[in-house]
Amino acid sequence: MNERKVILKACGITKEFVHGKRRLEILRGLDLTLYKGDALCILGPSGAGKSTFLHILGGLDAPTVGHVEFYGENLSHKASDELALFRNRKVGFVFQSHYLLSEFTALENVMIPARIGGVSAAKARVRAERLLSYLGLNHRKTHYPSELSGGEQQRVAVARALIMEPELLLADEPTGNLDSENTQKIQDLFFQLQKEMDLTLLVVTHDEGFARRFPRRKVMQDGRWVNKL
Amino acid sequence: MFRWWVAWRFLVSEHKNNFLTTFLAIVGMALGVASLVVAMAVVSGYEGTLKKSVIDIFGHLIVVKSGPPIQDFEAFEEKIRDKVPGVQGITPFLYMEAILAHHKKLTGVVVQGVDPSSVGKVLNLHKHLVQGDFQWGVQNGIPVAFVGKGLQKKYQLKLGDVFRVVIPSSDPYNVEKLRPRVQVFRVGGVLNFGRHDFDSRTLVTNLFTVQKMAQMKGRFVGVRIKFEDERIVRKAAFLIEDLLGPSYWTKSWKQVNRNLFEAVKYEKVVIFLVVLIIVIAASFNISNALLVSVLRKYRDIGVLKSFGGSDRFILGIFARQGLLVGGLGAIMGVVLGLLACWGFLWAQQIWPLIPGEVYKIDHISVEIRMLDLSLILGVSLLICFLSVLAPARRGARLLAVEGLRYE
Repeated sequence: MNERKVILKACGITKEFVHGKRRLEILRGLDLTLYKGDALCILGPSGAGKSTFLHILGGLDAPTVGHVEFYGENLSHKASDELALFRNRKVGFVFQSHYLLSEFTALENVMIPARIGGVSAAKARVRAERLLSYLGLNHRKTHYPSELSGGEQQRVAVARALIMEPELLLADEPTGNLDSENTQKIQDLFFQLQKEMDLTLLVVTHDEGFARRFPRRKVMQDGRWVNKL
Repeated sequence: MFRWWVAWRFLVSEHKNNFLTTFLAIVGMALGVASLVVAMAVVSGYEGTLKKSVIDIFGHLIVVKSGPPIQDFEAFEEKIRDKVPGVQGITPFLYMEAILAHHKKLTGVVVQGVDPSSVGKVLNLHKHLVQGDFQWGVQNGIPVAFVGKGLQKKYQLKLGDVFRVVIPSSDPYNVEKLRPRVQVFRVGGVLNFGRHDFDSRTLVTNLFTVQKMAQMKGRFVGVRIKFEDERIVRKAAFLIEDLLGPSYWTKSWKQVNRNLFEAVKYEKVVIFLVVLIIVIAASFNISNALLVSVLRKYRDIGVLKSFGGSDRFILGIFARQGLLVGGLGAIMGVVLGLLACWGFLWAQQIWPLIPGEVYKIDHISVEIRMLDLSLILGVSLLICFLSVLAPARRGARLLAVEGLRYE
């Protein structure tokens, strides 16, 4: 019997979009259980619904049918402000495009979630500097995103996702826009972080090589779990 | 502070993408606020000039006795000075209505009798004397009078001219029988009170002469008082009424000219509201600039929301961004308005911008009041705040996931 604690549970997640008069079903009754400390990869082709599923798990979007529980607490029952607090404190996001704010330096970008969460500027700066040093970016902290390489941008995005010390790290194609060298580095970084920070990691990718490195894998196609591609 | 910081950085970054829209919004607001500053300064200047000229010719307060006139001025003055603090000067007065008859023309006039030895401490008639000089005595046996500018114009009076004033008094033995008396005056000077009603009806002369005309030798009907601080006038009036009893009444310069000052106040409000339309129009520019900014920042909004930014947080950022634009415009407008006022005053000294012979005034006074500036800034920022709410709410309501999908 598995005694590990369930951190996240998705029950019967269905997502529909209405496009004109057409109803598009993107996700079709997906279930998922994620345990604390898990490293799970969701593999699937483009358009399978992986990103939509990830957004729903992270409280960025709501399912049409079904619900998500975080430590048994139903996210659908949370008000908008509570969901914002949940995203700030419990989850860290890394996106395919780094999505760093171009008006802010690397250090400031990393500080932003902490400042939103009410951490003082001084404390947020210390935390951000520590993370950037850890990721080998201390010398780039005053640079703006446009002055960083793709790999550096993504590492800054990882630091930003980690500043509030989330329990769950959700990454959407984190290496999708990187060259092979940076892809390798970022992949290694995820596993290193997962081990060192006791993170629960859920990565969405279409890169089979990356997926093979995960102890748990799920394959999605047309909004359903399938055994293999 | 964090929201202000983010708002400021978003605003500064606008110079790359949205510079013209933001710049025009700031300029629009600056022009609107500058117009308000100039308009209010001119109206306040007019109000100030009016107030000064009213006090110059009226004093702060008059105390009048009903019934038999007052006899001993020195004792009366001492009584008031003893009990009422802050008195700068007291001067007795006596006036009577009469008819000016000259060159076959008749005009009803008010002959004001002032005491030459004390009038200077209360009234500022010197400032209004446009011809002649104050020699209150008798020239060649004829008492000197100072005529209002309107009277002088109507009768084509020149300095030294002699004219008659008819006093319509009744026979002491038969009150129903008129027994008019005539007093002759010599023009000693011309007074410009700055008000048509005064200029066309007033004659100022020595108190002694009016006492003689009214057969009230050594007596007077009331006094004019000037205080060191005009704010104590109301309180002093109560004190004086208490001190002197029910046969005396008081009237302050404000009470006498209430309609006039009410009208100026009303005009000021109307001008403020009319010019405010420019600020309202400018606020639409700000709203528009902010909407463009919100649309351009859809993805950033999505990112901020992903990391815990609530709807209120996003609303706060964009409302602050709009307020920064409005605030910058308003501050620039105040500076611009002050410069315009200063430039106008300077230009008036160099060139005669207002021909005195056409208008009743030969210059426009400008008065900058902190209260006006605060009101202008406050109302402008409020309008600005209301105008940015709609675009800021649009940003706040955006779903995080929609922002992230935005390319």
